[in-house]
Amino acid sequence: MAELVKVEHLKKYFSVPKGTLHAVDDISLTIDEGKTMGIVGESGCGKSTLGRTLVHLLESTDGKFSFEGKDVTSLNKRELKKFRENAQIIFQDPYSSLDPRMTVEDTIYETLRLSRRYSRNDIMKKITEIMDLVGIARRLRLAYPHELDGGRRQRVGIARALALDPKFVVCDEPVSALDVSIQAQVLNLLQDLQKEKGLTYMFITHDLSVVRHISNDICVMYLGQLVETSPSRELFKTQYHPYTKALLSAIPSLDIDHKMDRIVLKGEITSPIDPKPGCRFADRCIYATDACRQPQKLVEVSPSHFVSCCRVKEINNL
Amino acid sequence: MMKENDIFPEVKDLTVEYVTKEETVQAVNDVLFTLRKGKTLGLVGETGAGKTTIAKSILQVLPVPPAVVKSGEILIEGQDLMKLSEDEMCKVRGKRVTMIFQDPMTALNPVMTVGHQIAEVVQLHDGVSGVEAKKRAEEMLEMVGIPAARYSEYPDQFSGRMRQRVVIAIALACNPDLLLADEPTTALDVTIQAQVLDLMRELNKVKQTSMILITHDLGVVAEMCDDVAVVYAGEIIESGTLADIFKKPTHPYTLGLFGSIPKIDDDSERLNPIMGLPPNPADLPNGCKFHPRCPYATEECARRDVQMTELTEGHFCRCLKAERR
Amino acid sequence: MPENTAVMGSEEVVKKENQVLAVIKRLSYNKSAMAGMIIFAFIVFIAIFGEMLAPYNYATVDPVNALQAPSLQHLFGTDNLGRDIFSRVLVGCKWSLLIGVGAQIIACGGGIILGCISGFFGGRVDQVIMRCCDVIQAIPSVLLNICLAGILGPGVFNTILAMGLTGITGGTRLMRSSIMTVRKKEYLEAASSINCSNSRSIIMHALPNSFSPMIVSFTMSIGSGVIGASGLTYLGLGVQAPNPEWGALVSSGRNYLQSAPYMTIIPGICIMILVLSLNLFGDGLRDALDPKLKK
Repeated sequence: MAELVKVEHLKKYFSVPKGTLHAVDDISLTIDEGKTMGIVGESGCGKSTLGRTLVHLLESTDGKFSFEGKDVTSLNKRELKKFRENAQIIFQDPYSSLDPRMTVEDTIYETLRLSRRYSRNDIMKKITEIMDLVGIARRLRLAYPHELDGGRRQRVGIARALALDPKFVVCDEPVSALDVSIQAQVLNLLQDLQKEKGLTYMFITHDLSVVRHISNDICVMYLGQLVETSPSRELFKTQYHPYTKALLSAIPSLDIDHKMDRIVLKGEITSPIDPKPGCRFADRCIYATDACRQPQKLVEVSPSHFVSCCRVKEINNL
Repeated sequence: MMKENDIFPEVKDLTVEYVTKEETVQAVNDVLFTLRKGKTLGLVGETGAGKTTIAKSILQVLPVPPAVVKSGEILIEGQDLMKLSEDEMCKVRGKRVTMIFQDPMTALNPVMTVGHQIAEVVQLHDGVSGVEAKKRAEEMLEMVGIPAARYSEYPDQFSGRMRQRVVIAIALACNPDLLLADEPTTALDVTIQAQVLDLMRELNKVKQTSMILITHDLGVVAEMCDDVAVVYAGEIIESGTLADIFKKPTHPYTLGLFGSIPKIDDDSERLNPIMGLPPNPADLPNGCKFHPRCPYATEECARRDVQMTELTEGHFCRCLKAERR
Repeated sequence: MPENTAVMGSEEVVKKENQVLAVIKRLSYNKSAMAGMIIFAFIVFIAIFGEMLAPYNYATVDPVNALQAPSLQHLFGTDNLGRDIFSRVLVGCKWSLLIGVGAQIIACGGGIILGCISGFFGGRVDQVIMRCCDVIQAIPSVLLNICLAGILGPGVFNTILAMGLTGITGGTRLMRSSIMTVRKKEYLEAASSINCSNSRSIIMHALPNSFSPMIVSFTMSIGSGVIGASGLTYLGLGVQAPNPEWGALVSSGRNYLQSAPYMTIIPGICIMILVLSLNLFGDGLRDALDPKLKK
């Protein structure tokens, strides 16, 4: 399987009035073609920033990022345009990601026209094709976003992202604003499209059951750092990092007979503005020692299961 | 049978409509449920199903107009809240019944210290002196796990989860008998959700507060509730104990809800979503409200109204399939 | 998806309406907007043909008939020099319309451009533009108008220019703040993800979603512009005497408020009608442009 996206030591800092916000700090990962990489973490952990950096909506501060073996950070304007057509993003909020003054047709039309790939007539045909593909009824062609419900709007967002046949799609919480029954429809659609078009996804979410359902691999992020990454089934069986354990134990379970013991986290969340070196979870971690205040390394604990914790062996009796 | 004073509150035949010039939205249709004292009822359903309208009508804070309460009684210890004057209702609100709103970011006044906001509620409802109210407010903060030293800080000095805890502290400051929680954890992260749910469960246990928990998250329901009512298009379509609903879901909509959520311990490749979209509440289908989306729908479903059928004791279902059994 | 099969079967062909036509059609359903438009059209008509319609020469002084109340002979009465106010109002219409609308076009046009740049790009560009606005706004606008008109020399068009330029700051601020609320929306991010250039993003996405406050401000400011111009006229910088202009007519009646109130009231009502008509029309236009209010 070919590597499509390869990220090494990627950093994205923002300067804010109080200092430098380390939104994404030293993240390395690879995504294989046709696979889905799930990024899990709580709000403010930098997962959306990571996603936006990977489609070049934000420029990285430091680190390497290659797409199909080409370094994206050093692309010129024309190559960058090409890259963007290959790497698209589906946004979280279907209410704010569509221009309220543009109809479904306008939204898709603009995407196709800007690429200059198609003639006017072809664009019209292509719009119908794409609408059928994502399951928006043809009669809604001239509907404005406010006339559509959340699920349909999200389909328009998906249509826009897929209009140019990208290879890589970042899905930034695409279903978290939708109702359960609609959420399932959209998840199925995304899976169908992946199969049909051989898409590679990066699926960002805070919903662990969704990420388990859709991803092949999962990265768990905490305040800009990667704490654990592994194939998704493996991760739900065994977790090594104390944060991952707490995160998974906090999911409300549907099983009413066997209630899981919950690990309740205490302590204040470390500020991501000018943080001290070391593990950022240390302030809330019951196993924290002085060694945790040093920069951590990602260690392979079991095959393709990496953990960034210096005490992983002691905690898990390995 | 349940004893009369065990029931708290009882909602009978509640029907609420939103009437505007263009259309009439039937938000709640003939909703009927009872809650036992000290227990937690989960109201489950999708956006626009009428869950929040039910809670707001119990608290009598519906926006009138456009809302019109067509019929219904809300009984708290034999007293019908619908018949109370606004002044009398003010005494019930806050003291006996309180509500936690969904969005912790907008529920607090940004130019007032959090402590003061709690103390204000206490003072307003218990009529105690300022000093005493402050003491109570500090106790409440401690109870929700915020150091009393942060009494005089402003809401924007708090993180989202702490604000939600402040909102909960305000809601609980007067020891209400009934707590209405409208998606109290939806805006929160899972680990913080776990903390807040733990807190609410503890209060429920210690103070014997009855709770109505409105949510779309079946996981939260499984964790928190004793009884469950599933709401669809303004009607309760299935109700029963937690075990009834989670082990023997009967209504096709309830089954569909369970089929729609990816399960953490299940490896199936595809989800089985409910087909179609929720109906337009201004133009509800005839007969069973769910029949256009129901895989088992027959011609009869579209023709006649379906009544609640008792399957086993306390487990009700509004479906022809169940009626025939 | 099963839900769509039903719809896909019926091949509905949806014809796209011309957008400009659609807006005009929606506008035509709006009664108050149409009323506003008709009144405004009437005012424009008077502005063009006022001189021909005037029963008397607007500048002829007739001291014998000074300060006469409205009568059949002099519909709006006469002023302190015996000039027919009706004729003066008809002729003055042209100047007032030019000054009021012209100055606002410059102010709003400049405001939209600067406000868009400032609000969209933010950062240093925003800082520079905003500080310039601060400086200009710190100077009393009358003083600034006098300075500009003084430098440019007297004359109607220079007055328009001067008033327009001082109005730019307000327009910029208004536009900037409404652009900034739109700036955070994800559809602008989406636009850049499909290789939409910044200028296209502004024109196609940011501007259409944020300029409705501008329409309101445009119509509201015309009235104060007409009045403000009278100050310059008084100083001999605006419309040159004996050319009448509504603002000047209002202010010249001030001394006779007790004895001849109609001298002030009638031109005042004219200004009010001008502002009202544009206001009605502007509100209607804003609604017609907003797809959310589409029936």
